[in-house]
Amino acid sequence: MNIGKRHENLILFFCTLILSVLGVVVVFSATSVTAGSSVRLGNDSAYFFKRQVLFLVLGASLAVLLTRIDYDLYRRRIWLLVLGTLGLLLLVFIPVVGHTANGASRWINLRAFTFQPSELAKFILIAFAAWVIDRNGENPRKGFSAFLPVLVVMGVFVAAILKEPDFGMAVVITASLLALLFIAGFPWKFLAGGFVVGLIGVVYLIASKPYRIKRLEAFIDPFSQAQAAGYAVVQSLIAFSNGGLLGTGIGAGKQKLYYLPEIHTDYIFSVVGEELGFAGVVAVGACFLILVWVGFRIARRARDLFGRYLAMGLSTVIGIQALMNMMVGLKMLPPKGMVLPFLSYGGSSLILHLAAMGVMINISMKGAEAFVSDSDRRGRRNWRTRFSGDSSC
Amino acid sequence: MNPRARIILGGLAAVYMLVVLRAFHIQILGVRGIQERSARQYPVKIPLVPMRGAILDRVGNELAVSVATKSIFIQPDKLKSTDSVAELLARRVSRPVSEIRKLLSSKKSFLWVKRQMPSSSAEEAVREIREAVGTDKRGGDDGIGIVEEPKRFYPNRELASSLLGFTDLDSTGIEGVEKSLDKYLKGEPAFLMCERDARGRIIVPSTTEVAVNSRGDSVSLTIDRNVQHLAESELREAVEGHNARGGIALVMRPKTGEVLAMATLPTYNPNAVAGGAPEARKNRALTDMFEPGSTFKVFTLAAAMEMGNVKTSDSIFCENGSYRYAGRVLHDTHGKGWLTVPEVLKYSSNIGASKISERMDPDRFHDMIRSFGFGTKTGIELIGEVGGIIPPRARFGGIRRATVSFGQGISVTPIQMATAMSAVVNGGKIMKPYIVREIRDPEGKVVYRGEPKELRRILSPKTSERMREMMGLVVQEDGTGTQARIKGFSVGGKTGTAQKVEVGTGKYSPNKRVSSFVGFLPLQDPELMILVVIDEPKGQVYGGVVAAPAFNQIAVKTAYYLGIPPTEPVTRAVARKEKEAQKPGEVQLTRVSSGAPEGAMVMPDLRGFSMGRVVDVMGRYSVKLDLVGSGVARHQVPAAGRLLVPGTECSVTFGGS
Repeated sequence: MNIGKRHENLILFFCTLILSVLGVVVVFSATSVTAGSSVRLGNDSAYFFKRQVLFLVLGASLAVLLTRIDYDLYRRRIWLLVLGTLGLLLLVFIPVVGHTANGASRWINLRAFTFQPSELAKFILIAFAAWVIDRNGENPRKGFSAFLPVLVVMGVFVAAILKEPDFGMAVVITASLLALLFIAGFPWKFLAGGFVVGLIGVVYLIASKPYRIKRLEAFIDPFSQAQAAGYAVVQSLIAFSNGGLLGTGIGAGKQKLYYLPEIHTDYIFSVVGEELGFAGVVAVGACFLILVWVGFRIARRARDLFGRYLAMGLSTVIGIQALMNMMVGLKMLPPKGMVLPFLSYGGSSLILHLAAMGVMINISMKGAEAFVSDSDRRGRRNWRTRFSGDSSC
Repeated sequence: MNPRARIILGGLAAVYMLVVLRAFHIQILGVRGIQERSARQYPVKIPLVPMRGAILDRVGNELAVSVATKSIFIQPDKLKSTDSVAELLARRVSRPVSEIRKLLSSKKSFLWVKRQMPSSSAEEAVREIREAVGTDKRGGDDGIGIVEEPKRFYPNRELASSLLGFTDLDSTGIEGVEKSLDKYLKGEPAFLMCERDARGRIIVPSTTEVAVNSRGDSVSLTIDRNVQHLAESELREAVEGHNARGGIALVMRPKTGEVLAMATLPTYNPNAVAGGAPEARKNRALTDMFEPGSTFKVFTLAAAMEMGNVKTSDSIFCENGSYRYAGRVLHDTHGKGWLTVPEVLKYSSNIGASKISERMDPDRFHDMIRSFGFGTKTGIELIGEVGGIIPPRARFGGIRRATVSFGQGISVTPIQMATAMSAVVNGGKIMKPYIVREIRDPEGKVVYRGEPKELRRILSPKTSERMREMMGLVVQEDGTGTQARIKGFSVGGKTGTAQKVEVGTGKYSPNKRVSSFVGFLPLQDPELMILVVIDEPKGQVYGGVVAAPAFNQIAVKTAYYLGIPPTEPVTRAVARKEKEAQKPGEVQLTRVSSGAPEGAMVMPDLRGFSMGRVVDVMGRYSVKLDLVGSGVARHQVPAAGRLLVPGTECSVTFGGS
């Protein structure tokens, strides 16, 4: 299939628009009743809705801005970004500055809002990996050692994120980076070794926290402890079950009536399943899959290796996170706190994911420009000339 | 594309397919465990009052019905409550503001504020509250709403109130027929189906006016509303006329045991139970025992005749009114010498009855008394019946047997008396008394039908016939019950006057009496058995004076109403009544002078009359009366001024005023 750059940008734009606008609607549906009867939120049934709309506007503005900023900036300033993000990541552990909710210190307190640095870290680590690959080239002769800086920096970040703790985010980051390195030619044997080490690490991490064991038990047989650890999973399944083929209709779901905890963040997909049914589930999943696919198309014609791997990395991380969130909601993975990109309520998540789409479009635009002007600063045009037939676009 | 990139992309696509398959499994194919849990976690059932079945009389007139009312509920956690709301609500439902405030601050998620209000005022109240809190006029989930609930209503107010009983707010029968037949009348439990959220708060469906589908069976009684009405009004006249404490009137069909009327006084309005005295609420026809006095002589004579101890031709020496027996002196009010057996009954001689009982074996006499049904419940369908008290068989001799023979030292209930007396005159069969004609389910299918049931034969038809003849003498000239005589019908009966036993001391009261008259008509083929018991009349106390006139009025009106063919020419009766009727404002009864059949009359104009008045007026004619509807008379057949012949069928239609 041959689609031009403009079409790719349009598809990317519409997928993002559909997902984030649907997110605003579903967040409103999921929270209006509970927020409306919450004295803490001033009985404002539109509390979450209004904030999510604000985040959408901010994120869209940022995305538009980023389409205008050459992504080469991130390559040149990569260490500033990495160290700055690491600094933010460590801020969450400082009292007063850090904001703790549900026993996790994942946020920086900004008075009316909170900021979640791990959402930023996710994207910065992708950029860092792209930078390393850009420096060493694909399938480097040095082999494993060429990727070592990525693994080291990732190790530091993941350690900090696990300390928060944010197990889900750590898994998403690790999986996405490993996928990216795999594409770049990371040796099989090290990948296999890394997988074994990672597995041992995961088992250790689960065993080290009783609540993770509980979650795992609840995952294996949620109905046995439907009122305790398995509660959320069971309620999520009930939401999907209630939805049927076409759903109860927007606003008509029942699971938002305090049945499903964290419904506007971790379990927003369950609301989609309940109110829009199987059709909604398929459509939302398809949007994400198309988004990843288009991201990979953009990567193929990127101006340089940095842009190429940045585009693939951003697509991969969004795709992996979305699928993992869906799998948790459908009890295909053990529960872990993780939002659904674009749809879940949350400023950091929505704004940064929209920003990532802005960067993606910039990569797409620069790739096309580079082709037309035929000027390649870094002299790596050979992989791109294969697609000269696309010039008419 | 880089083949490794294809692997990643393909991997993500594969996982997406797995997600879709999993969702397909849960959402389209369905997982039973999940669906069951879903079905279980939302519903909340709020009990409502089911639509109780109606109680009807034998021709379908409504005696007790359930009418739709509206109940107001609040959900304190949802209702924006302010002082003004509390005050408004308090005023609208007439409850103290403090109570309403307490309700509004309750932690419960569903509370009734006022139940079973008239529809319009409930709706108005809720509309006003909604305006006050500023919610949509059509409501929704705003914390206040209306649910339709039925309320019991007794359209005839006091009529048959002690028989019907009443229900509580939740439609459970508390007394009378309502309680006795509760399992039929009550209906399936009804519920308002709501949903709850995970915090247990109740979400009432937006259409809060829920129709109540559950209905109870309707019960049709053997009671006839019009007979009941006239029995009650005649009884009231007698009770008030003699300043009595209360009274009981029973009208039965002696051949079947059907109860046509069961009236008690004092009475109460079952629509406002709070106002009724406990004394008024019980059905005294079943719960009150009294010493029957002379009416019991009928059973003594019947037993002696049946066992061959006396013949009608036998003469008894009545000791001129004073008879020393077993260490006591028995007295007669009017001392007599030699009396035949029928005369013993006619003049109601205690000494005569005692001497007749002496001829019987005490054990067999005792057995006969038990066979008549005394000492055991009759088994009528109503609750609260008592069995009466008879002396134990082992100590049934001497003076005790002597006093029982004229109705002292034995306690009976009115229903026992009417049942036993029916057996004496109906050919000798104890018919089980019954009051339930039929029970129909909400679809109209008959689920129970009351039928005459012969319990046992105690007298031969011959003895029964003799007894009827003897009881006919009682109302003849210089008998004790002359006031029971009815022109047009030959009747039989017996008077009774008994001293009351003081509660507490167990001794006979010096001045408290129970006066009664039990009678039947027509004499030769009894269709009606009527018992009138007057409790503690002041002044005159003799049953023949106090109770017999009430019997007379009930008997004549019931007989004409039911169209029982007169056994004697009625001209004289009408003529006498005509004179009585010549009061201002009364209906003019015009006798047709010449050429008309014997006893023919002219139909009066009944329009605008109440049903009671129509029965009164038409009771003076020997016509068949058919009353339709309720309210005031609207239409009549035949028209006013038309000729009435005894037995003519008259129909009067009633409507709202």
